[in-house]
Amino acid sequence: MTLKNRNLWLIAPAVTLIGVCFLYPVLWLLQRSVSEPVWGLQNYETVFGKAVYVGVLWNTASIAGATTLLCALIGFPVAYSMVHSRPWIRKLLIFVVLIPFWTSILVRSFAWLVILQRGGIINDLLIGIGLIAQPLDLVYNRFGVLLGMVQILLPFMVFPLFSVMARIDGSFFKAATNLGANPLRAFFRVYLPLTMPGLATGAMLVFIISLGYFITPEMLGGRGDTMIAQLIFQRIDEFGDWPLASALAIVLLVGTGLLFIVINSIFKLRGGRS
Amino acid sequence: MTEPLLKLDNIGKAYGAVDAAKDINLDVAPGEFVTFLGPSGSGKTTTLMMVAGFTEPTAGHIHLGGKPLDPIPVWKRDIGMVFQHYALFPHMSVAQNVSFPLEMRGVSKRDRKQQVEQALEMVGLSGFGKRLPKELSGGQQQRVALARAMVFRPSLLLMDEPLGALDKKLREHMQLEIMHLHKNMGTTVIYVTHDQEEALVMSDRIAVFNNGRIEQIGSPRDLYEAPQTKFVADFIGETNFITGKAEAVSGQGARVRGLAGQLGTDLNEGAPAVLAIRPERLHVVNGHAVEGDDNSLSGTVREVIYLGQSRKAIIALEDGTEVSALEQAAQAEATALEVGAPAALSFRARDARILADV
Amino acid sequence: MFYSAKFWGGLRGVINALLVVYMLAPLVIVLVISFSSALFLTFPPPGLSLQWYDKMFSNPTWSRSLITTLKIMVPAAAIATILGTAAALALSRMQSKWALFIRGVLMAPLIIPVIITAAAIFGVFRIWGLYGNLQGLILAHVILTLPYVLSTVSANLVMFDKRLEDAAANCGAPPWTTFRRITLPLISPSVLSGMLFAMVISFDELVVSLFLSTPRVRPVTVQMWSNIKGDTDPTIAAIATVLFLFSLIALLADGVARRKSGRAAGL
Repeated sequence: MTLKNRNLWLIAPAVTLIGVCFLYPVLWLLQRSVSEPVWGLQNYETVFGKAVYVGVLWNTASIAGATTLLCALIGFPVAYSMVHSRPWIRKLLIFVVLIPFWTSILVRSFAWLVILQRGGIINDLLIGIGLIAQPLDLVYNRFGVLLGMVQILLPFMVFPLFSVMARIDGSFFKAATNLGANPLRAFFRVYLPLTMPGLATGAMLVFIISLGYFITPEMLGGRGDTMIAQLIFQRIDEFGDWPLASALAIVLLVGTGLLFIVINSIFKLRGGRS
Repeated sequence: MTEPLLKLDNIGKAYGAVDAAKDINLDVAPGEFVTFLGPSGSGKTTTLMMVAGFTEPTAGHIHLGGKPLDPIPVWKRDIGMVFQHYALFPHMSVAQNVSFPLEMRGVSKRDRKQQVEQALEMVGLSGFGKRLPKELSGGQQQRVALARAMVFRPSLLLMDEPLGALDKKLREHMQLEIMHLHKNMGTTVIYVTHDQEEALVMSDRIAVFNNGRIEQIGSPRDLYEAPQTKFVADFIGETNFITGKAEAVSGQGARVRGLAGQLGTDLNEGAPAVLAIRPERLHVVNGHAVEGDDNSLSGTVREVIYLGQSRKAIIALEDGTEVSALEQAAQAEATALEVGAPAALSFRARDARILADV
Repeated sequence: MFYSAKFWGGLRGVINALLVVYMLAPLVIVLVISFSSALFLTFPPPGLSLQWYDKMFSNPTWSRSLITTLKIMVPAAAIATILGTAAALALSRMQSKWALFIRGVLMAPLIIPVIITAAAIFGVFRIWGLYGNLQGLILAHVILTLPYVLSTVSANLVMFDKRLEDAAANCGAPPWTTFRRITLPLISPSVLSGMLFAMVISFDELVVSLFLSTPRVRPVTVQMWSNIKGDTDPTIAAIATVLFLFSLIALLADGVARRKSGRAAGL
């Protein structure tokens, strides 16, 4: 028995399984998107032609974009605070931010529902103390979606930022102020550029992951917040519309893939220069 | 020579067009301590790995105790090995580590216990059996590795830079211990190192590796006093080279740039050659003739280095070649040297080797 | 004010507190409500009781779905652990370009949006008769969890000293013995960690299960999903708490395993 053979036997089951039960289905999906009802690109024309679908694509991009922006705005001070806190506080914060990796999105989206809905805790509280007379619409709208998604995706922003910030030498900032920059300018001219790699990595992760989100927008979003994943589910679940659902899935797949490649290559170019 | 224990018959290992080792021929007698010496990438470790069975030779055959080794897998070879950085099993105690090869050979539990104790005692680690490897110092880990490699009494023991991770003092101490163990146990050892001093101290014979080949095999004294190639002369100890062409080739002797020396290898008249002379054989005379010296040359003193028990003088010859001469303190007193002053040098023809210049 | 250390320290404290509230408060509230004595999702609850846990376990819909989840999770995690570990071992020994490609393919279910995987698997599994039964769900969960095992074990194998295997062979251990006595004990913390990961992912999985399950074979997450979309009572809070506790226990178990391995193996 040679070493090569042994590796072959070790890897064959996993590769076979993924090949048959994953790669083949994805290819099958690709095929259906161009072969039904007749061969051609008509399904893609529908996706990019009809206002309803274009609206969903726009929703998807804008929700992902807003989530990314909010994650950056919240993640930056959080990561900074983590780096500069005492060790036990840092450990606590890491644990707190890590919880999303381990708890189901379903549970956490449900929790937001309990808090935000019309008969939910916040409305009860505000009405109870007489601040408002009518319950506020805090959920089933864009606000609810973003609140839920940012909470879930925050770690993907915080950890890249944290690892970059932890390596930034405090003397840079001191040097900048010593050279006459006020703290604000020192921040924008020295600190922020140094954290750029972490910020960019985090933004890429958050944006790409948000594009395919399903559970949170479905539970916390309203009619106007339908994202592409929800549309795929609807087309299959309610209408059995495989051709269009396949086309949408392939658009999502290619879209995220292209985005990944483009951003990655921009990174490499930059990394090469500096 | 008695029947060799290990016979390497023209073995080689090629990775595509690159030869990691080529034309390796070596007989190792029972009880011998043979060192593979060479710079990194010279093929010494590759050769060792072929003997151990981790690397399959692409040419030639290996025989151990008269039997071909090629078809035998690693775990049936019965060759002990001390790995670089020891490779002690981190999840097993010291005793479990040493016991492992016995267990693999189906030795009964009671015998195992006794033999493990013996082996640990042999390396001076009795009572350390229950510890984990990482609780031991580097030198102690080294001993455990030694015990594990020897506990099943292999006929051949391989050691791959076993002292590389230790500091100088501990190294020298362990060199002596390994030599004593070798003498007491009578095990045949193949030892890989890139440290020429270590090789000179420990070995019965040294095989000097370079570019995947063995340049020369011989006793430490042979290699030092009678190198056959320029590489060997350069790699072992310090040597002065005077380059030129082989002249007046006759029998055992020849000349380079008019200086006589012993032929270290076959050379044709006019072939590029070097004359190699050790610094301690090169004498600064400056008026005090040294008896028996039959070659002389002259130059300018560039540097004088005081080394306590000796003095080293760097002298530039007329063509710019720098040579160094090493003299004992007592001798040095007779010839005071000043930087920039002319110096006359001499040496004996029988101390110089004339080698091919490659 | 800008230059005072007190100000910055205080600001950091505020940020930290807000973060903890934002990340944890929803979970804590659900946890508390699950012990509520009220009939609705009110907070703070007027009193405490275990009635919703009682209801969860006595209601056949919930108890059956919990059992279904376990019936999917246990075999799926076991298969994913074995196949993923084997693949990680093979890939760690392969150096060709193929190894990189194969790794990419095996990791793909983790990287591409899960809705695509779900739609694709559903489309094909329906044709193969793997829809609405345990086999289909188990297979799908193996696909989804295998990348987690592969990446966890691979990360450990990077640090694994392969000369230990050489040393074992030199000591006379044949390959299988070497694997059993040396390799497996040394990588077992990461295998365990990967398995826990696989269990949590399978336990919490919703999207693919949503496609593949029917009312007869329905894991707990799908049951919860359909109830949230209908009317909600605190039973769902109890279910959510169970899901959360499962993750928490797995997280703690993983932490313990890691710490232990750090002490014993010292990799």
